[in-house]
Amino acid sequence: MTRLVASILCAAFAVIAGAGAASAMTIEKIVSPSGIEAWLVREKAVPLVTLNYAFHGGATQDEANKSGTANLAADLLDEGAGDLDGKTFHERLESHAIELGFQVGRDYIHGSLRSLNEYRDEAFDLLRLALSSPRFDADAIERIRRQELAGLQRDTTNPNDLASRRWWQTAFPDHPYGRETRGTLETLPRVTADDLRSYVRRVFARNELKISIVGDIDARTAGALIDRAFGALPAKNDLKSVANATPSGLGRRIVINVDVPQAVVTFGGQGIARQDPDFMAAYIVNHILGGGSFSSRLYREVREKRGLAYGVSDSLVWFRSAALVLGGTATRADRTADALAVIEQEIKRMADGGPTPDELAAAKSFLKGSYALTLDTSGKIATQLTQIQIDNLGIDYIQRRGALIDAVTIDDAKRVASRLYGGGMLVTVAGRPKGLTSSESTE
Amino acid sequence: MPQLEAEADAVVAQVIAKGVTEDELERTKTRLIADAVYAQDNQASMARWYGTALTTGASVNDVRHWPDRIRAVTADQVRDAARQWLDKRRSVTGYLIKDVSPQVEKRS
Repeated sequence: MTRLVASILCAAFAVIAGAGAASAMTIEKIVSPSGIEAWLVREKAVPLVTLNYAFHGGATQDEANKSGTANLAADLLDEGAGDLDGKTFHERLESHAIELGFQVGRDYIHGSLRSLNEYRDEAFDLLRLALSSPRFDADAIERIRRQELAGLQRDTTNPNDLASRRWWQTAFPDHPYGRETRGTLETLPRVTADDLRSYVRRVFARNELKISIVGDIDARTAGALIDRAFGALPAKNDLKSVANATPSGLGRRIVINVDVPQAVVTFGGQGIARQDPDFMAAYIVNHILGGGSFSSRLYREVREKRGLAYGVSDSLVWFRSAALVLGGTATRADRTADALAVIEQEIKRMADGGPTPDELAAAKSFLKGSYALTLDTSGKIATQLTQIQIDNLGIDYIQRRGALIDAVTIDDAKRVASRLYGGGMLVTVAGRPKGLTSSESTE
Repeated sequence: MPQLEAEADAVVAQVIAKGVTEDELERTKTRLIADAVYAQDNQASMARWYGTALTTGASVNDVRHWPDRIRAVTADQVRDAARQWLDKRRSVTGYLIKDVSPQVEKRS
């Protein structure tokens, strides 16, 4: 019922706004002439096309002593390709208002493209060049590497980065997930043009490619454009395998001393796999504990009742080879210990007793009603469709999602709360938190 | 810093003296018109677009025909506008520099 109301509301928005991005949409599975599959949403209201795609093989493919390779490669894809040097390539994008982006995650490299319909052939041609013949010119590499190094240098005094990096290093020692996607001041200078070429050659292939297209475009044209951009890529990728992992260091607290007025806290533990039958129950329970809303338990106890932080939240994070619950906050140095105590107490209260039936009902209603609001642009829809493909949830997932949420009972929620929050958390704190020390000696 | 400022001033002076090239004009028009199309892809930015127009004295029609008006702009008009409005005497420059004064905690 709520889902029905939500889609009617969205249709109304669409009419008022003249844009139909969030109106009830039909997702079509299409196959290009060369055999590449993609999901397509035809949206005729606006004369543009949005593409989102992902190749399996992100920062996990970096050599341990050359972390940041994939990220640097992605930064350089639009810095010259084929016959076009970086400046010319950027001019071609700019003069046609084509938006081309690449983003490296741990497991995947994601790409996006947005173009007016009138320039979409040019857009997909430029994408083909970027994917199949990036130049990696020496001057471009050094320019972008300097940019990245300047950012990494800044991060060495940024408490957010310090807390986060230490969390990942501690949770996943000797595992690719423990390494920073952007690399470090030590590893990034080691990356060579050959490393960048090797990354592109091994990862950009057709076999584990997920593609989503949203826009004013029919299936035949979309198929032709897909082949234009991706058709010439190798049939099969050549990836290093990544071992399954669970986070280490649960129960530990690590304080990183850095001279900043606020202390930043990162906390996290074992999460739940996306394909786990209990995932949706866990998703709801986590929303109640610390999901982004202003009514979560953590938000109420840490911010509203005690004024210890401006924000506090946690979320489920899932990868191909690990699953986490991960959260954070930032507090005054003299109240960090208090904030952390409240967070730990709320996690334990949730593990022990689960949510109340009222909390469960409110969370279900929110999560069903707000979903359509997160799909309000063609870019967001395309991104979500790619994620649904990566997570292997099926083309009807958006229709089924409401029923999956409704099916979660209070008993499910309590059982999953205990499973999710009963295992302890690894906590990293960066700053000068008064009265708070590492649970074992570090620095 | 003074060098950066001088370079920026030189670019402004160049536009005032010589105007912009056809290439620059076309590229900019494409981008501005694309922005109007891309804005329609996002209900929030569309609402903001209309809201800003209506609260600053423009009409719904002005928003609708904005791309046509952008299309009609000539290089000479750009140069004339630069001459009229890019006057250094009415410019303000802000500098973010290292703070040397004592810290006072402010709360908002």
